Order: sequence, then C-alpha cells, then structure tokens
Amino acid sequence: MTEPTPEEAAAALRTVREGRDRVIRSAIGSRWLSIIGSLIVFGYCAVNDLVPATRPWLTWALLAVCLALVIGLRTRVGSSLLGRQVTVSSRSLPIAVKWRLLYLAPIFGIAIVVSLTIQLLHVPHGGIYYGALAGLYIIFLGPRFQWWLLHRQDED
Amino acid sequence: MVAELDQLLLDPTRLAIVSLLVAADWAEFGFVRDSVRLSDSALSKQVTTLSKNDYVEVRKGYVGKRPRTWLNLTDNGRTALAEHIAALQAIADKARSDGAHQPRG
Repeated sequence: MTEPTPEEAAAALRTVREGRDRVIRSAIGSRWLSIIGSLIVFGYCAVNDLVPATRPWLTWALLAVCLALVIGLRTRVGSSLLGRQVTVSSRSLPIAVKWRLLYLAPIFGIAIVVSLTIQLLHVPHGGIYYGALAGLYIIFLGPRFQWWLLHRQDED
Repeated sequence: MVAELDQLLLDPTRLAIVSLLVAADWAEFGFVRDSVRLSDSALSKQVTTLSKNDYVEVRKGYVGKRPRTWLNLTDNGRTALAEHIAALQAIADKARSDGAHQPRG
C-alpha cells in the first residue's frame, strides 16, 4: 500500500470536510421549506389574533402539521417529496440540546420584545406582528443561524 | 493503537463519495452524482465496488411515479472511514511536527 504524502493526506482531509459541509448545506438550504414554515407560523399567529375562538383546534392542527413534517424529513421518501435529496445523519452530526435551544432562542426573544412593545405602546393585533417577525426570522435568518450553530458545535 | 489507511478509500473519488454519505442517513443517487461530478455510469461503478465491500447500502424505490435510488453508508463503511481519517490525520500531524522541529536555514 502506498502511503499518501502529507499534502495528499491534507487534501483528503479537506475532501472529507467539504463532503460533510455540502450535506449540511443541502439539508438546511431548502428555501421553499423555510417559506412554508414561516407562512404556517404567520397564519397561526394571525388567525389566533383575529379569531381567538379557533385557538384550541388550530393548535392541534399546527402540531399535526409539525409532526408530519418532522416524520417526513426523517424518511427517504418523505424527504424526497419535500424537496430534500439528503437526510442529515444524527449519528455523525449529533446536535446538542443547548444548540437546539439556542436556535429557538430568537423566536422567544422576538416574543418577549413584541409583548413588551405591545404592552408599553398599546399596539393592537400584537399576534400578527409577532407572526410576521417570527416568519421573517425563519425565512431569512433561520438557515444562516442553523449553519453557524452547526459550525460552532464542531469547534466545541 | 495505530489507525490504518483503507485501501479502498485511497481512491479520491471513493473517498469523496463516502465523505458525503457519512453526514447523511440517506442520500439520493442524483445528489451524490452532482456533488462528486460523475456520470451516472461512473458513479454506479464506484457504488458497486463500495457495496460489494459492504461500505454502502443501496435502496431503490419510487417517489410518486419516479424511480429513485438512495445510498447509505453502512456501519462497516463508517468504521473504515473513521479509521482512514485518523490515519490521514496522523500523517498530516507528523509532517507538521517534523516541520516544526526542523532547524531553519
């Protein structure tokens, strides 16, 4: 067996890193999935705000959609149907609980800021504003933040 | 214990394929083909070699009416890659430490 030179070994290690990065990018880079997620969040918040009576069954419907998405993304056929060509392995990229919580932290941060603003300025329909801000976060900042978190976790 | 290089993974194309699959539970054949920039037949050949050695598992199915092929790195393949990476890292580290200990001219 011919041993690779140090340069060849370094190049091979780079190939391994690039392969993994490509899979992560592909898995979190599905823009239309982010758009659908943000529309669901916005719709839920807006309807909750405008028609509070629908809250109980709407919450169950939202949970059912989330569950279907999560299960779908964990299966080969479901992932393909949702436009994802790969399912990221939790064995090789285990995401620690603290990083998962950090990903959700901006959603809670937005909720606190919006509720404080509503109370201080007496703004009506705060739920709609919250839904819009959370939706924008999911579309524009969510994937970038998720990418940054995965890299931060690697450095730990 | 000293990690050993894997003969099969010394090939850069095969290494690129398993490097993609290690981060995935399942990856579509088309995704791997586009990522490693191979033709269908060239990738098929490499996948056959890898699956004969029990490094890669191949599943065929349908999404709607379209046929799809999915690839998965087996536990055997994951172990081989981990050991191969450790061996490559040892070579790179040794070269770095040798370079650091060499007197400057």
